[in-house]
Amino acid sequence: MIRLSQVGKRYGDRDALRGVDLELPKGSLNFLMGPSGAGKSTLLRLLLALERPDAGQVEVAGLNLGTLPRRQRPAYLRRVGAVFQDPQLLADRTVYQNVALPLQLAGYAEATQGPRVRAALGQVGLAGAEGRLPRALSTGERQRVGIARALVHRPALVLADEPTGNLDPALSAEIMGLFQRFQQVGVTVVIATHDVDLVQRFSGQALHLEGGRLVGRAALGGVS
Amino acid sequence: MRAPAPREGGSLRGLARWRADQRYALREARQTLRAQPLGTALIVLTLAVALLLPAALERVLALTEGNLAHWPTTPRINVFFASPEPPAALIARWRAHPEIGALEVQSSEASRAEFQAALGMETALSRGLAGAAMPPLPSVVIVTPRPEAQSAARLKALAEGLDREAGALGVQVDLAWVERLQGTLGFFTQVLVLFQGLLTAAVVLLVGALTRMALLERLPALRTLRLLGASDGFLLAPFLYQALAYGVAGGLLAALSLLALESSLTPALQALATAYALPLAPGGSAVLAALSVLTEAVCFAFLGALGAGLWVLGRFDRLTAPSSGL
Repeated sequence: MIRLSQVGKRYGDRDALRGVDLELPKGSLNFLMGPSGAGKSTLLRLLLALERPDAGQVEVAGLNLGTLPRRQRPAYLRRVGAVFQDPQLLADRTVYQNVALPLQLAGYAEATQGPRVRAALGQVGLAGAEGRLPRALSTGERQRVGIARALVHRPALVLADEPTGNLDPALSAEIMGLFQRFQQVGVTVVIATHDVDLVQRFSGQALHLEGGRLVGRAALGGVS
Repeated sequence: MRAPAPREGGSLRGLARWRADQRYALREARQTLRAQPLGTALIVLTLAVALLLPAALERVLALTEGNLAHWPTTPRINVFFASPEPPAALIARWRAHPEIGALEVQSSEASRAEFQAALGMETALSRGLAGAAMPPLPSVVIVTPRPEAQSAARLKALAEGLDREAGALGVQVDLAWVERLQGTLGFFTQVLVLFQGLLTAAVVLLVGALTRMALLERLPALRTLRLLGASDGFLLAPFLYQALAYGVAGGLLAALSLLALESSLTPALQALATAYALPLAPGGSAVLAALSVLTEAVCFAFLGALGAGLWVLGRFDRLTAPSSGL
């Protein structure tokens, strides 16, 4: 599904990533771990095709993102689900409208959007919240709307950057549980997080980055 | 992941997809316009005024120039004589003059009849004059110079020459006012071109600046949409529709105002033309002029928005600082 070969990325005179080799199979749950500045977000930006690597190759499902023409980037992004620390919901749109955005962008007929949006909201425990505005939601609810939005179009790959960064431990575990459920139905999930304790509770693999290098990888047992 | 569009059930393709995207963009534009009715009204009014000013001036010039074309434009020199008839020998000599194309002789009696006719027989003055011993009017020779002698300098020289002839009371050169008017109109046409250029630029810049501000204001939302896979066209479409709405509304207002203005000014112009015993030509179609204003408004607004949109999207990555690490 994802293959990185000797990937390097520089910002000015600082190496954000150096010689990263990585293969992530389809349907795997992967946690990118490491201190701030380790290169987690840079790696996610490369996987989202928001940046091009300065060295090496980034391939997703056989697609070389380093050579992906700029005009084809939107089509690629429409096939990926992205979750951010700040869910970046559109403030003047309802929960329904926010979650329906990927369907709108992917060209789904309006008639087919409703059932999918309601199903996605049901999966994250927000059934019935369709008409609410983001400002009327709690932090955890907003994050769950962001996750529903990332999953509503059934992407094969979900990338999440610190999705539990603003949440309390109980809610964080609940959110991570959601990701695990999606991984179990064949979605490849890559999550950047600082939270070592939380990650220990899930099965999957932890990838440790430090100073832009992949310094270790470990299988997680999943004690939850 | 290779396919640019989803292949699952429910997804649209081709024209249906394009129409769905346009419907979405229209909804977005309508929502934005409705959210700020006063701002929208002020923008539309500003556009209408900026479009109406040069259009109205252009109509006045077109009307004046159109009428000048219908008015006599061949210069003539009237030479007056105290005698009831101009001297026959002089007339014969002038007929052979190399700079004179045509001559019309009007006796003192004919001048009097024309004067009375001009006054109208029913007026009190005319009735009074008919019964009274009216002082004699001069006889006139109306000289039309040959086309090659109609320049201002040669006309002046010819008039001075005719004025020096024995028996001539004086000369009057017709149409000097037409020349002056044409000169003035030529000047105002140049001013109009400049004026139109400036106000066109104002419309384009106004809509461009508004679109740029609206785009910058919505940068975080646009960044989110882009991360979800929105193309540049999808991001820009609502703003282009918004600009088109400004253009259509501003253009319609300007066009209707132009028609109303013309309709209210026509009677006054008609009266003016009648006073000078001249025909009033329409000076082109007012409806066409109004349609032209509407078309210009839509085009200029669209161009302004497109320019601003491309400017912002071209700098999108620099303008959007990641807020979540991404």
